[in-house]
Amino acid sequence: MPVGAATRQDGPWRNVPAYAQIIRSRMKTALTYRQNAVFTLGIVIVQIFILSRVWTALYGDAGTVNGIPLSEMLLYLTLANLQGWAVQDATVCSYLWERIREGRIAFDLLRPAGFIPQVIAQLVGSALMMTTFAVVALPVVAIIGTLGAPASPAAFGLWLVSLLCGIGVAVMLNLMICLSAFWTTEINGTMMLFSLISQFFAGVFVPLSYFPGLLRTVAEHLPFQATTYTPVAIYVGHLEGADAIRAIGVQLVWIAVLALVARLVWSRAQHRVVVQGG
Amino acid sequence: MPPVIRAEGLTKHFRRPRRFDGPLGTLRTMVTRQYEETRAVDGVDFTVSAGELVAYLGPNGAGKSTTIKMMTGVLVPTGGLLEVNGTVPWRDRERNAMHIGVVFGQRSQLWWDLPLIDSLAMLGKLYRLPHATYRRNLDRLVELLDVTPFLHQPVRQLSLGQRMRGDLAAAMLHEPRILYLDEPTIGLDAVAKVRMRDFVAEMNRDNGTTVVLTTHDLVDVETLCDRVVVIDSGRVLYDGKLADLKARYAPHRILVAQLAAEPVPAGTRAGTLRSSGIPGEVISEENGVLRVRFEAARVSAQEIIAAVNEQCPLADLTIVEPDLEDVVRTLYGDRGAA
Repeated sequence: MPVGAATRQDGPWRNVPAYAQIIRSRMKTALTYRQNAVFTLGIVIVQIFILSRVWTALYGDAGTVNGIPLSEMLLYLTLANLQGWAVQDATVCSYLWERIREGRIAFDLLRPAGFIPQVIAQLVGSALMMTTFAVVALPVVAIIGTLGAPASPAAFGLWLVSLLCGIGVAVMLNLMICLSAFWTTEINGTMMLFSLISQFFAGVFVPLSYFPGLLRTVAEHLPFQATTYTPVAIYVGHLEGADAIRAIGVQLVWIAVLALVARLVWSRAQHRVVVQGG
Repeated sequence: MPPVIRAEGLTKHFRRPRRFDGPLGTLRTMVTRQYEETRAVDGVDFTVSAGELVAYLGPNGAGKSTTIKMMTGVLVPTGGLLEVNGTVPWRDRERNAMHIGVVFGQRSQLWWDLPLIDSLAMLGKLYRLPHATYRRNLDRLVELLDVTPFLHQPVRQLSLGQRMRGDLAAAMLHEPRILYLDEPTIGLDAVAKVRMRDFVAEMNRDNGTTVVLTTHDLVDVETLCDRVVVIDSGRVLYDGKLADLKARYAPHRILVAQLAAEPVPAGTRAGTLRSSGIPGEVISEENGVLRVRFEAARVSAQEIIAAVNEQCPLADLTIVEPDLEDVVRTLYGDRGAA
């Protein structure tokens, strides 16, 4: 006779152990497929190398441009690329897209836990594992790029907070791409376009403070800068004190806004669910 | 028994963009906004009581899976009423999910890259099973389904039969009140099929689990289910006892008789019987074996045996019951290919 139901936990945190388990499983899967991470990390290291050469050439004899010394610029580029890579993992979206295509998404939908939180847990697990890979790769990155201490102890503390928030914003943005898989039967193009746009507006190639007038205004009103530019700018000391705290506030606002949008998108996607095949 | 599943006028329509063929067809498909509507489920009524074991039959594309997916809460119906355990599945999906288990034969709910035990642990967490309950159910299922040998292997390395056992364990781990089985025996070998049926019967008997089963393997139905719902083109064609279904759509039995050598000579027996007016129809006479078809509802086996025996003494006989296959052929036969 069913007895489980009566003894089950209830309350708003009831599904937390399940989400924790999803995060663990996603990390385990990412570890299984670590060659893929090593490969994309290789690309990022090459990118750091190229960008460092280009910016060193652009600086030429000028020691400081826009108030930023070259060494700080190189540190910014190295960190921004590494972090941009860590929060830009497409495997969860591909995984979800494949499940939608094969109809296995049905199983995610018939769990006693919310679908969106399940996807978020997957994305968090992936981001955590990617961050771990990034930390492991630091010695190699130090040889090719530029690593250095944070601007100040306060900057380090704020950076940690901001990094977590940045991962949060990136997870929510990735969630949007994942959800788009309910409307399109193709997702690779979307993911590539998204990756390019988000990296550019996150300030991975050029820091936001170098963007000209209108472009800068646009970039500051998009969520992408909150993923990478904000934490790295805090680390190197571009954003300090009240500015840094305000920037973290903006990150939190973006998480909330994107969560609301996700809710709205999901309520529409739910009615569009077509489970493929027999 | 109170109904655990109630469907009234249940409907699901799918809308797909209309596709054009020929030159520039793709372009036309993209620029026009015309849709084609498919009525996958078109006004279905039925109820299922607690503890019942119901087979849901129908040809490919009849709407069986779509109905199951609506009952699980995965698909939102276009119209009609659907209640499972007193809730509307898609609106209250998470609550509904707690009380249902699902096995789709064509796809696995197990996590491909993880060992089977990890999938089960994940499900224990997802269904919020207290640790002791999880342990107890896991031990029981592991023993019943004999999954110990491959419990720690990644699911992608399992054979279909092993994977299916893993899927059954996954579906039953949280002791659902209702178990939906969508073509659970597809692709399995004979031994694995028998094992699956035994397990389902045991869950139904011991746990009182209500089972809704779709299958193309009619042996599944004959060994497991008393009640059959036949669906085609999204509508219910038949809902009732399996025995009545056979009586209605395959009312005939066949008497296969080995006749004695005397007194009627071989070759003339069919003619003799036909002219004597026995209450059945002689189909053939080959190598001394006579086949007579009779309507079970009108003529008892005893009567037909006596009538034949009177003309041509019998040496041996069997009576062939129609199998479900004949019924289904008759039922689906009237329609075009799916």
